[in-house]
Amino acid sequence: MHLDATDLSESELRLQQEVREFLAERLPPGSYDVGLGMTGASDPEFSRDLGARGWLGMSLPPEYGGGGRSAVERLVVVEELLAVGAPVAYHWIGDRQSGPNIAANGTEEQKRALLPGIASGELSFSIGMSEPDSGSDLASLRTRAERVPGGWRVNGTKIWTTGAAQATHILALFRTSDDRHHGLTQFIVERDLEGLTVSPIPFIDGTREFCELAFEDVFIPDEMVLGEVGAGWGQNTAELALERGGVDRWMSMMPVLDHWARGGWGQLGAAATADAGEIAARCWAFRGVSLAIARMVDAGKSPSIEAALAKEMATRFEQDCVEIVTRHYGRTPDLTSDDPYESVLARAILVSPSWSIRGGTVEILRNIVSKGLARA
Amino acid sequence: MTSQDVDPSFAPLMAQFFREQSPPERVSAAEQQDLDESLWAQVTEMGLPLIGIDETLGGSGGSLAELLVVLEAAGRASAPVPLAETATASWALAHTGAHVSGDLLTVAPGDPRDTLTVTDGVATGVVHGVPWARVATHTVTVVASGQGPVLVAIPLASATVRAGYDLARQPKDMVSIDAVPVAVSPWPGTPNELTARLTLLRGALMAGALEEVADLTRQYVSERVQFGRPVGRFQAVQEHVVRLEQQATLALLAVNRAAAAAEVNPSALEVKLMKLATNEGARLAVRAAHQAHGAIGMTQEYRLQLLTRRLNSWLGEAGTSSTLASEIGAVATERGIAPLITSSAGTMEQA
Repeated sequence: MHLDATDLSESELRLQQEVREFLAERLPPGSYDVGLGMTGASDPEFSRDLGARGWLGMSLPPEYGGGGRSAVERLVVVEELLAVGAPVAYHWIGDRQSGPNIAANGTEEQKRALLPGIASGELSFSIGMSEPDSGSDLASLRTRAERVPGGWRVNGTKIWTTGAAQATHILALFRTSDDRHHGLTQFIVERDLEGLTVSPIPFIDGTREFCELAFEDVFIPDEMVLGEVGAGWGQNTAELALERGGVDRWMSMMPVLDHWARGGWGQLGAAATADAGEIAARCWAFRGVSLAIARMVDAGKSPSIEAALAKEMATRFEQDCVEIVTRHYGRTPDLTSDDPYESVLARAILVSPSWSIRGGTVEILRNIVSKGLARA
Repeated sequence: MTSQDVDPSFAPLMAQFFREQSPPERVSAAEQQDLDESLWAQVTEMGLPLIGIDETLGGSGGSLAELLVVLEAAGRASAPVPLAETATASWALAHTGAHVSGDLLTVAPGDPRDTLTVTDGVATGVVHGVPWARVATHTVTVVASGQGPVLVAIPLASATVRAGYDLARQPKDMVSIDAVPVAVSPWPGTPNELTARLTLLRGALMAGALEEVADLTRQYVSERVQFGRPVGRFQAVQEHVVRLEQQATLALLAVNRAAAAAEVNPSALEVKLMKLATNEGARLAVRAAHQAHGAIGMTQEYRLQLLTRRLNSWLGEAGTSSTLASEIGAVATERGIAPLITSSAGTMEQA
């Protein structure tokens, strides 16, 4: 597998500078809850502010409110947001994957109806994939959409859906026939549909973003089918390339790492300094990978194997970071601490096992990469 | 210039040359000699060690990116020749404005035990771990002087060379000199730049070796059958294959990014970031490849060891992990990690 070395252009560096200046003003230290990457706080107002600057839906077509910009430009914005642990949860899924998916597969009406709201930060998406009996084996999912006049009737349960309680929309994968892979179809589900019950599942750190979705005779009109009926598996796979190869897979700990490295908890001794050096080298390497993958996306390629390869190692690295910083912290961090970096480190200890599970477990990613390499 | 700017036909050509001319039997045989003279003659006739040096100075022309493509191919084939050393030392001479001749040269990688001093053009002391010193005409090093850093070329005919070997049984000698007149030239840059160049070239050899280890292992586990199926079908074995592909991919990307940074600033921090990341990759890859191969990988009859012994040697030269981690850590703790990794190529000095 080969990834081309690439660096930011002058205009991309200018964008980086603009984002830094904006964040220094908009999120001064102490004014927000420092977050762990994509699971940062949910702040619709912050999301709208980003949208107003053109920093959401950046790669969406301008005629639908998007920025008409590149995946690399989005990476430049996103890495600055994650570096400070900005409150990105409200817009994260829509900006990262639902928007590009709808732009690629949606009807004219769907694009007109949804993309402007994604780009402005008004809409919030969640992903409805896993089910009680279908996790890593996604193709075994059973929640069924049955044809009825004018649309589809859905019955079943989706689970482990992060952010569904606050979402305006859920991009869900349902079974529309018995064919294992070709019997799956993506639907755009409005969150407030009759018969859809969203129940929080308390997460390990006490937060309530994790949800279960119960569909009881939920009617979804035909115009909310995304793409072709039966093409959901392929569309979903393409979406995963966007989901897996980004900087969000290795930057969750970045605000904590920087606080620690720069002496926020006291100057580092020799051993900790060396550990910071090793972490910096690995971050530098992963940044090169994410940038190369983003350039491939901009060149019209679908680097899904590359993204799986990257995510498998990046999420394990993030977990290493938690262990290293915790080791140097000197005591068990307090989840209820007034020091936002201490409390977020405590949360990282609890939630970091999820990083190598969500979006494809490391075991599944190894299967994907192995099969991809065998085909190459 | 980056790897993308190299003529696409060049890499396959180099890969083919080294694959054909440096097969495993020849690499193994070279361990019983000081130098495979005929392979070295082929390499120098093609002008490979002088790529990246201007033709007006006797070089072969071409870019650093092209030179790194050559080294990657040499690393894949475990080519038992002092290519990185001669290329680095020749580049260093050309860097001072001197003409290069194509002689077999080497470079002292720097060892904490070194005692070399140069006073008024006369050198005395001991330099450790000098690759191929016994067959080289000169070894070069940069030392401090009253007039700033100077490049010193030590004539090895006037030195006592004690033979030693690296883990791949390639020459790695101790050089002692006592009051030897040496050529001294002002070094137009920071003292780090010589080591940085050697580190980049070592990195390219390591990246090549890592790619070969990954390919070799993938092929082996697809053919080796146990419990009635290829062992590569077992998820536990797949983990090794994935690990190897990851580290090979990371290493080559890191080398090309570091080279691009070095074109902007020859002592860019990226060179150290690359070596530290690649050292880590090599460490992981050696373990994964041997584990996936089982017993056969431990034998000299099978060629995995040609690659893993080199990787283990290169891990410890031109930047060891603990030194690099401390040096990079000093920068990271001062500037922060995110600002460091998001700055544009070549804008960060080494510590």
